[in-house]
Amino acid sequence: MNGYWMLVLHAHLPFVKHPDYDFFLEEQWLFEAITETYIPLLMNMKKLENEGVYFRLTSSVTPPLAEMLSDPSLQKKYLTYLDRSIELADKELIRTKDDSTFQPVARMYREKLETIRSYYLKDLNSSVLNGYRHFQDKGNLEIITCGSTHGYLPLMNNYKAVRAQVELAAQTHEKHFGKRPEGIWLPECAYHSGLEEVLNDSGIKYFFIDTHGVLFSSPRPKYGSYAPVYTSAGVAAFARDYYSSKQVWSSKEGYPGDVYYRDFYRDIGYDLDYEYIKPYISPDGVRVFTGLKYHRITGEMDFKEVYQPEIAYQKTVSHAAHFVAEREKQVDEIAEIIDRNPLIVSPYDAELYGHWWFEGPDFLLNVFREMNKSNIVKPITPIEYLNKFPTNQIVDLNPSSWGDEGYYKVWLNSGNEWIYRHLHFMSNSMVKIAEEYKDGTDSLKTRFLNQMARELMLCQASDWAFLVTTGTANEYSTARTKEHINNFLRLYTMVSDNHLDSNYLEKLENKNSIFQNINYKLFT
Amino acid sequence: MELNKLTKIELLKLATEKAIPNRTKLLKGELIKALEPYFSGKTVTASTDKISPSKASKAKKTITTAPSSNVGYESKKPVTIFQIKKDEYPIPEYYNMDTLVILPVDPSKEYVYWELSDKTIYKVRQQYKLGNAPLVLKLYKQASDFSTDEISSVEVSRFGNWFFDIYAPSSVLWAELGFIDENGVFYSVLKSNSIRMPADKVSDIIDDETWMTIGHNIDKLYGLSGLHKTDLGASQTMHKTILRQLTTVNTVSSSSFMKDK
Repeated sequence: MNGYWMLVLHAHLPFVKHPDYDFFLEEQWLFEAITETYIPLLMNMKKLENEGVYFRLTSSVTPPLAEMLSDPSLQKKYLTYLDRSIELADKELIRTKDDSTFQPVARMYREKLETIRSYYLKDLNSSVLNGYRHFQDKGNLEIITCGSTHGYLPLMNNYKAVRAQVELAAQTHEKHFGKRPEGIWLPECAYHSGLEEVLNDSGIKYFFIDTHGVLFSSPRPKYGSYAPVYTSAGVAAFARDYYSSKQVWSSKEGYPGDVYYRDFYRDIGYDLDYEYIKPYISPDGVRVFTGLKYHRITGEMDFKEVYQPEIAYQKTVSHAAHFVAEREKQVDEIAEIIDRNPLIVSPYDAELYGHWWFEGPDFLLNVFREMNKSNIVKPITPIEYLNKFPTNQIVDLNPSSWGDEGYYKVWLNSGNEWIYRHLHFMSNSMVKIAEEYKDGTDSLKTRFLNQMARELMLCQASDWAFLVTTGTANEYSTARTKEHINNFLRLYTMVSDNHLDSNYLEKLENKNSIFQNINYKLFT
Repeated sequence: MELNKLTKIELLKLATEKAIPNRTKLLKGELIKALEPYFSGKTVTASTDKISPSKASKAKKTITTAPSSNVGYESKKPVTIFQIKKDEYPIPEYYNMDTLVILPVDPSKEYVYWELSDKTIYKVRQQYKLGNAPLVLKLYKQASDFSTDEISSVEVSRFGNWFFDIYAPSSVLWAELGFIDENGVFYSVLKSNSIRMPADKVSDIIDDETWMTIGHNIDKLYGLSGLHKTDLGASQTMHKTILRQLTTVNTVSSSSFMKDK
């Protein structure tokens, strides 16, 4: 074996739970991701397991995602969502029964959804996390954590706020996966000097950093981005490989843009007759995605041809073969100039596989099948690698992130800069009040303090600043940010004035229910 | 159908067919706007007959028709749809405290926000007899172990924020807020945290011991790591590329979580 390939998927969604509503647009994020990404990935891992293929991958399951996936009310809502999708797929079979062009793609969705439903209920026992735990126990999958609510760590001004994000993440990880995490996906891959100390305090052994975070480190990294480095705290950092990312996403060699792959935007929620589709879109009549998309990318024009599942699948086979061959070439080229087996680290947002790139999960399936035949490159997890190569160079890493241009501007610009004044005030206040009550207090006040910690953490989610920048869910993100600031300040005033409104508290505890076991003393 | 050629009565008739809410209160232009999604480009198939690529409607705009009943949901109570209410959660603009914080954005951009309380302003003005001396925000750089450089200065109000565009990779920076009297003397009131700015190139510092083992191949190795690529450190740009590839249509529903890094 000449080198190693490390696939890293970052599975994350912000905590979105709206118990007062039957249908809530942003809750659909979770349901779409379960149907399109998490379950298809798990089902393909199952295939690899059954075929006896050697495969290794690393995936974060961020604390808010894990909390949502194990929330009984969201599990119930997901099943309703799935059943309604199946109902629509059934109607589509009838509608297209005399249409030999669209009938095959309608049938493909119907079968796929039924398989997903059966896998979800039988194999997963209604919890996606069961699937992750299964492959963790088998040794195929290394599950890592993230910031407790995906808070943007470099832009926090209080060391204790950073520590609380990391430590609560580790505790929540243990609750869901039975052990404390050894690795972390830093929220937005964002690193700042000194972070390694905090990670080390929580028992984290490694994290990931963008290519230039290692290339611009000091002293110069001996192996470029082809081997991990150690920080002064002894925590290892793995650098993203530039070329394998490029391979998947580049406009020239990139796979997902193939004209035979499914078009993301052409959805029957927008295409079909309004009266017909009305029961399956937003109840207020607004057209939304249904997940049933019948066209392929086709080309640059608006005209789209019908999607042909078989041809698209064959494309994933040839793209996977190409990907593995390219990694073999890369490994051979690097192995000649460095004195150890090169490591290629390929991190992606998990949701890109399946949700965006419909065929992505099959591509990964075929990559592992193909790599199983290779004598040159082999999949590996971070802990396996560090056990094999425990000696690594020590460097000071460069502050960086995986956002546009590689630093912090996506999360700090003239559209979202107003958030930080409040976040800083809140975290400083939290630290102050936690210190005041560090020896404990009565049970009601404890609940107030714990809810303050929840509101702060939910507000810290980098998703809000990100969505403001992209303009995608700007209104919702702004509203969520203001809601948590407002909640926090009201709770803070109530505690300070010793005027505790328990009805108000209960309402918040039910809605913003993340981290049932949170302890405000995290902030001391 | 060209809606703008119809009379208001004809439009109203169409609006009734399509159950446009508040249709009787709408002006002609508003009616056209409300009806447009139904008639944009091609005619929307009226019944549930099959669609084909050529017939598929491109009506992707929001349709605001209210559902006639509580379709598809078990719950008997009317479906309440979440709507963002303005000012439901008011937040303060500032906190009437003394604070000055600097954050790095990238090797050539710094963000600073600040606030001075009434009390502090009064106290400092009294103490140094500053009258109406202007408030100034200054940016400093650690030049060496013993010296500092003032690199930027801007007149500001008592609370606000500012983006500096100072190229200062790997430097240590901080900000100070204070008054400038008529003789140009700076009375510093607040000093911010210090930040180390990110680097934007390969380090000059070479660890000799490890350097020896790889010799001249380091340039090749860094090249193979992607150094000098213009889109290095731009996963986000790459992820945008894939979105562009996935479609030629730029309409995006907010129900999709746009992770276009």
